[in-house]
Amino acid sequence: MSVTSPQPGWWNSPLHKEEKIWITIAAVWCVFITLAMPWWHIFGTQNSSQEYYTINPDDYGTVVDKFIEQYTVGEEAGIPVVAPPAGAEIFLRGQQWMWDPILKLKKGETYRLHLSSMDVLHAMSIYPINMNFEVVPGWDYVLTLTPTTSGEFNIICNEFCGIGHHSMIGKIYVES
Amino acid sequence: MDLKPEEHPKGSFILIMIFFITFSLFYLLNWKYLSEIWLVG
Amino acid sequence: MSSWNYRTCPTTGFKVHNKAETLIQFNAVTSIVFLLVGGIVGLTLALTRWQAVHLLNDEWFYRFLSLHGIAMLVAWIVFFEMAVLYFASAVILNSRLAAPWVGWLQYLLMLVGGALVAVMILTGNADVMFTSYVPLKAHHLYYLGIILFAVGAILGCVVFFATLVVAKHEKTYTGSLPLVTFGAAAAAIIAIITLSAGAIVFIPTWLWAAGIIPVMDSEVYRLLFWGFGHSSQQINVAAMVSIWYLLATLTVGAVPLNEKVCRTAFVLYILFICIASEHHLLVDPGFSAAHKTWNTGYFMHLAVLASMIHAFSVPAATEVALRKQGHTRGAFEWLKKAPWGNPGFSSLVLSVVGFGFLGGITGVIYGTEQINIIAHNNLRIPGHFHATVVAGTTMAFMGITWYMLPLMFRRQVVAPKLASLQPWLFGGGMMMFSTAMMFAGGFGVSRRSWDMNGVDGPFQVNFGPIVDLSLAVMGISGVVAALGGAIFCLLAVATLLFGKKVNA
Repeated sequence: MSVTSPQPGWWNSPLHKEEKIWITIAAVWCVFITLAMPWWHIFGTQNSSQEYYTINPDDYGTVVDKFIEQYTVGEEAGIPVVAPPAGAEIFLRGQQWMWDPILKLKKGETYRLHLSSMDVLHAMSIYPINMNFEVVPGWDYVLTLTPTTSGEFNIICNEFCGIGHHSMIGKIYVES
Repeated sequence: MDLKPEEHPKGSFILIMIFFITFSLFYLLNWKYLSEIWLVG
Repeated sequence: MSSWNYRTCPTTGFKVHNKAETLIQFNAVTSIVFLLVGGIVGLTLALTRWQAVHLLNDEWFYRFLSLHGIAMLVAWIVFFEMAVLYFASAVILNSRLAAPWVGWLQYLLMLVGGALVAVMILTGNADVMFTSYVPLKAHHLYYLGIILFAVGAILGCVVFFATLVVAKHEKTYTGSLPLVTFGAAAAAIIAIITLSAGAIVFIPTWLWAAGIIPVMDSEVYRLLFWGFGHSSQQINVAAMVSIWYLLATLTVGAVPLNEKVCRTAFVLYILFICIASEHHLLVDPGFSAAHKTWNTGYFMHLAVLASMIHAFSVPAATEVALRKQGHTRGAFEWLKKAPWGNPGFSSLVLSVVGFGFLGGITGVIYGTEQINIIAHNNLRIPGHFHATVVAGTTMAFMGITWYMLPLMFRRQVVAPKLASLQPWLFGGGMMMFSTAMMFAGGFGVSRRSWDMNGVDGPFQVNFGPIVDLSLAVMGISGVVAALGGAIFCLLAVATLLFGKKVNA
């Protein structure tokens, strides 16, 4: 009974066959799923970035403004559209409650995407790819990103950032 | 605890194997989903 | 010794200390009140995320979402766990409860803290969600409420351990601790460790909100918050698994197949689950991949191994007990002949299946460092934890309540037919709910969002008919689960008021 003290000598009572087999399978599985993570870091192509810097939000804003000024090609819904060259350092700014600028990228090209927030926590979710990364004030998070599909993508904020959270939608264009 | 041959938990063993197969299939399926997104590192 | 009042339970033979019994009653009743509040609020949330209904406006949606998390995940579960701790120490060990006045202090602190938090949320002073991520700022009394609640819970753990010492000293039992008490001790140890992490984060945050500390770093807050937030969920896991063993014993007389295996698994929880706090930081800046995989891999997933061991040993103990009653034909005669009409038994089965198949599997997968990229903060995450803490923990706690009512409140459950239907509505509804949520999350539907289409935004997002359908399934199964929850609360209250008295 699980509500009474076990029989004396319980520590030495042997395991039944089914228990032994299951515990062995489970233990091997746990080692396997642990090793899968470093394995994917070496051989996989989708990993969480390990490149990040601390940055003052005002300084980040200045850098993003300069980036927008340099590469603007138009405007949509009041948000500048930028078309940076392949391989460039590109920037995305999260603030209550908008993403800017709108990025125009090329399929198959690799970019260094900087993410940071001007105020509170946000998170970038690329729809419909369903890729999600946290956007943190005071931290510049650098993703080495290669779009492999083309079309129009939305950026949805998926970290609660105040009452207007659900209206925080941005855009990325990927041209083939 | 001593068990007679007919008292062994054979049914639970089958159930836990079904659990394990579900687990490993869904696990592998998610790696496949992950491999289909944009490249990032 | 004569000043202690005891009665002997006619069903179980336990010697019940009257002061332990009163504390168990107060904590259990309070927990059910919070369950009722959180449940009503939860229903309105499900009916808002069901996009075709969209019940609440944005402000009240976010406010109710904060309240739902606090009322359910904190108040309902922790108040109930306090009752479980007092039961597993004083009642199971036939002992007096050590220092009942500390127990009352536990109750009062948790009640005042919980009420303070609820008031702050409902008056619009804490629109910060359950996680209160800095620099979103709530009124400083909100953080004080959380701190008071946590201190109360730590005091409950202290009473539990003191009772273990008293019972050992006064020789109210011989040999090793019973398994249920052992599991409760694992839960209490994890509680003390993780609630201390909670103090480390909430005390400076409280001072920051009060204007005494000027700056808090968002990422440091996230690290410390989850040192408390995720690890403290393992209190619920350990408590739930103890309840599984208790229910297996009470419903079919199950005996653990091998005490060494079960107890070692509980020790694995204590040793390895507390380091697992960074499941929420896998796509965050500030940590190396080595650090993330080490931390969330639970040191080679040894805590996952523990859950997988329990996942076999609970059904196996149940099966062996039923086979010893003569149901030995084939592989599954025992399952067919099991007491399905007993709500304690069906709750046990649904809890094991909901926690293991839905919550456990998805938890390990979404917590894999790279796979988290396609799961972070979308509906897959609340889908996962509604399977663990609702279909798992809450279902198990509801199941044990059907025994708690005659044993601790000495009242026969009114309407037993309705009671035997309840687990199917609640457990079945909750499993559908979590599955639908996780399915929608796979398409990138965000959690904690009042309107997934971005209605007031510069651009609109269209998720398509499959997502609309799965959110409708989520809404409908949410209503079914809420009905099951309402029946539970109703029957519990009706039993307390009108149930036939059990003769002592």
